[in-house]
Amino acid sequence: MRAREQKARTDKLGWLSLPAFLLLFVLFLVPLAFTLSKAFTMEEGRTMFFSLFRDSYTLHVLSFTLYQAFLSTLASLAVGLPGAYLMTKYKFPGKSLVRAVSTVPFVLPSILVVLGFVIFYGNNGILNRILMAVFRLKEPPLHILYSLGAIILAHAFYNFPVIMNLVSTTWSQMDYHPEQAALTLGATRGKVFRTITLPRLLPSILSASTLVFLFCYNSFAIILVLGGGPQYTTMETEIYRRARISLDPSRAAAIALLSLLVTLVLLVCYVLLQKKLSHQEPFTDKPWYQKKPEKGISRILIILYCVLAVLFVLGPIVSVIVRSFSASSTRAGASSFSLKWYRQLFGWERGTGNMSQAWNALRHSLSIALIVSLATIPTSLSLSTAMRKKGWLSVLLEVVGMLPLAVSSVVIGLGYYLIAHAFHGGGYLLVVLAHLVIVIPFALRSVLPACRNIPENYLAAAHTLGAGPLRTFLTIEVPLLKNTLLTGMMFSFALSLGELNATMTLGDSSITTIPLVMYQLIGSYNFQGACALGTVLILVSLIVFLCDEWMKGKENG
Amino acid sequence: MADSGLQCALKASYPNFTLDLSLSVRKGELACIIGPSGCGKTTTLQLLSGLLGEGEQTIMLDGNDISHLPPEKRGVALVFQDYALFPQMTVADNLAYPMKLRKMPKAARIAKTASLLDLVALPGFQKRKPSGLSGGERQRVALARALASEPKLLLLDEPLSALDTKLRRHLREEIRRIHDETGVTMLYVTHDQNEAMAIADTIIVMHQGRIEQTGKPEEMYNEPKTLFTATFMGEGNTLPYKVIADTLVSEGNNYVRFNPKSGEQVIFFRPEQVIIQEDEYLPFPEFLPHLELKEAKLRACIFQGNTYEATYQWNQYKITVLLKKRPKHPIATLGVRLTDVRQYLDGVYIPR
Repeated sequence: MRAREQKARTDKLGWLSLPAFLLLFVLFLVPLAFTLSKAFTMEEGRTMFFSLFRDSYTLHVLSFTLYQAFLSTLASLAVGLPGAYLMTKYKFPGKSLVRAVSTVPFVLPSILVVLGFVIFYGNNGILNRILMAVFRLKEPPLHILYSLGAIILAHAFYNFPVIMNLVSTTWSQMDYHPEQAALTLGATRGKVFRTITLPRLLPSILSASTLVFLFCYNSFAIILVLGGGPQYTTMETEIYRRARISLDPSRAAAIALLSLLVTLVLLVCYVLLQKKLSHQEPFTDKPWYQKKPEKGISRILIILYCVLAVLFVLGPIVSVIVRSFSASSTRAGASSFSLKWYRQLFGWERGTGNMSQAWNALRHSLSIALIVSLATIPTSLSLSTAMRKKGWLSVLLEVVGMLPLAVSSVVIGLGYYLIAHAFHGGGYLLVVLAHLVIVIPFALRSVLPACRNIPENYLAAAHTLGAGPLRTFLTIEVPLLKNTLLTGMMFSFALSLGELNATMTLGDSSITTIPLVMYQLIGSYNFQGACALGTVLILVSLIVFLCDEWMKGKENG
Repeated sequence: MADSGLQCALKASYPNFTLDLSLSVRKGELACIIGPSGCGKTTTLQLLSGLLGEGEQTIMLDGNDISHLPPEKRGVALVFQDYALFPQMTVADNLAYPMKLRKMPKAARIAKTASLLDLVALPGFQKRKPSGLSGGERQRVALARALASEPKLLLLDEPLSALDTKLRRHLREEIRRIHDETGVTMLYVTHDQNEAMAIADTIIVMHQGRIEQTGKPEEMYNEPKTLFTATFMGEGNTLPYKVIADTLVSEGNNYVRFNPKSGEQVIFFRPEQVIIQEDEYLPFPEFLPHLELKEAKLRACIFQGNTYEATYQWNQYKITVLLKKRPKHPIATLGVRLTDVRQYLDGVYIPR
């Protein structure tokens, strides 16, 4: 009885979520509708979408997309799972450093990763120079870039932390008594791992792998640049090329629809498989018994893994920063320390080539990111309060809210491009709206759990003390969510600042943002200039990362 | 047979805790370790099962030295308080797990699974998943799985603590029945002395990493050798020794044979050994010699169904008394037969 009354009272705030819901609906579904309608245009008496299935090139692109995503997932598992094991089973000095470093790729924009890889692994890159100096070689020994290998390596860089963190979180929350029981029942350690631990971990490994697979499936900048051209084309890059280079938007839309359907099929398979594997884990708050590495060999392996992981992650980033401070006077001349690129970036010196756009791009990017991140606060707050409740409506809301995650940003960009095409213009407004759609699910993912964590008794207590629903919302809930909202806002800022895929797909030449200029600079081999812009992105990511860690630390006491 | 069953000597040091004990359990016996939390009960089981390996241990099981064997080779199964069923497997797969490790053929596995489920009174539960079982059912499955490994020694670590009172009483009888039917040697850890007294052949009281006393349940309750055992095995009243001199009533004064000694000397008696006399003009029932605690004030009286637990204040001491009827007067005289009074010097029993 009382519970029902309380529900009725909080339900009165339902209208708060309405504008946010409408906004999301319009921002996400309208462009999608444009794409879908375009996909079914008739050309030469055949519907564009259905003719795709008879086109061997498209099918080749699809199979390559799946193939590279599969290899990339395997590579991420190969790097991430040992890390998860170490993080769960051992305690050692520097562990928190490795953990912190491993979260870095999460907040890095993909164009930055691309740049870092070119600088670090390139034929003239830092790794090759070090190897040439150490082994006195005349030729660069590593030819990684512009190949399938580069794509997979970059995807592993991006995604191994996902595997490592998701799996080690599950693993360390798992009750270890079943393992001990298996030991006392007569199973050896290896057998216990194979028959008990691995099957218990499998659902979490599977869901982490699916996530990684989808990331790699939807990857754009890495394929576009590191793949080095049309021989490594995936669905996403094909959508972009069709829309913006061959100027064939209806074919782009048809491919986008096909890509979406494949994603959907993958998700359904995943859900079915997960359902089959899933079992209720009795989670405990008892941590796994973590031991210090005793044997010499395990110590060496841990040190090796940690050093390599830190190098793997920080190498490309640090080289971007280092390279941004160097310039050569002539094309072939030796480079020396210089602030030339920063002078051009901040408009104190006339930029050459694409660098002339840099100052404008910086201003545009910062304004877009600021507007987008400010807009996410009221949107995510009102959506979360509506989604928190139980019932089919909130489930529906949550699905709609998270849907943009399943749709790649290239497809969203394509939708907005088609709108711009239909209405002849839109400019930066469309960029802001597209960024907002892309960012909202991420903001929701941090705000919604926090919102759900507020005990209903707090609200009930406030009501019994005489506070109305709106007052309770403003004086109790919003202050409790303050930190999460700030975190969500900063992540939105960083995401928007680094967004390339949708911006590039929808924007015409009048639009310049930092990632766009970086892409152009890489294309014209002005790596040092790109590095200067990249350093700005690193700085922003670093601030976001530090603030997030600080907030987490504050929450934990 | 001196060499069958369990004989062990365990020594292990941890930060602010040292374990140092030796104990033995006869083959086919059900022994209970009881003690307050943090006394080392669980550590003892972990050392015996080989899950912990620190310190010096000598563990003999049925005549074999298993001190240096890994847990999987010891033949010692452990039942956990939180059941530790394999969540991804069905009940049948959980039970079959140790049988598969022993390469038992499939037909035999199926038959044995069925008979074990019959034994723990869960027939037909083969296809169920642990998450669909109640706490009591999970613990029965855990027990059956441990038995499926045909252990020489079965350790149970507070197996009933996570269950509610009524189920606990029922399941402890079930465990005793299963013990009697299988004849497996059991070492059972609990913090509940009632549970221990109800099912154990032998009770081992542990305190701060050491064994206080070992014996049959009746011995442990009626003849506790230390004050710790006395208070841990049940309710009791503890008074300073000097009370005896002041309150002893006997035929003449020639019965007093207590010798005051240096150190902290106390007397101890159980609530059911106290009788009360509420009418001050009536003489106390004759059971000389006895202690007579006059003008005790009634402070509280709790109805417990079959008895009343009354709390009296006598001088500055609180005395608990178990009565058949509710006391009528706020003041009464309490009496305790001298033969029921046990005395302890620095916590150790002094025989009279």
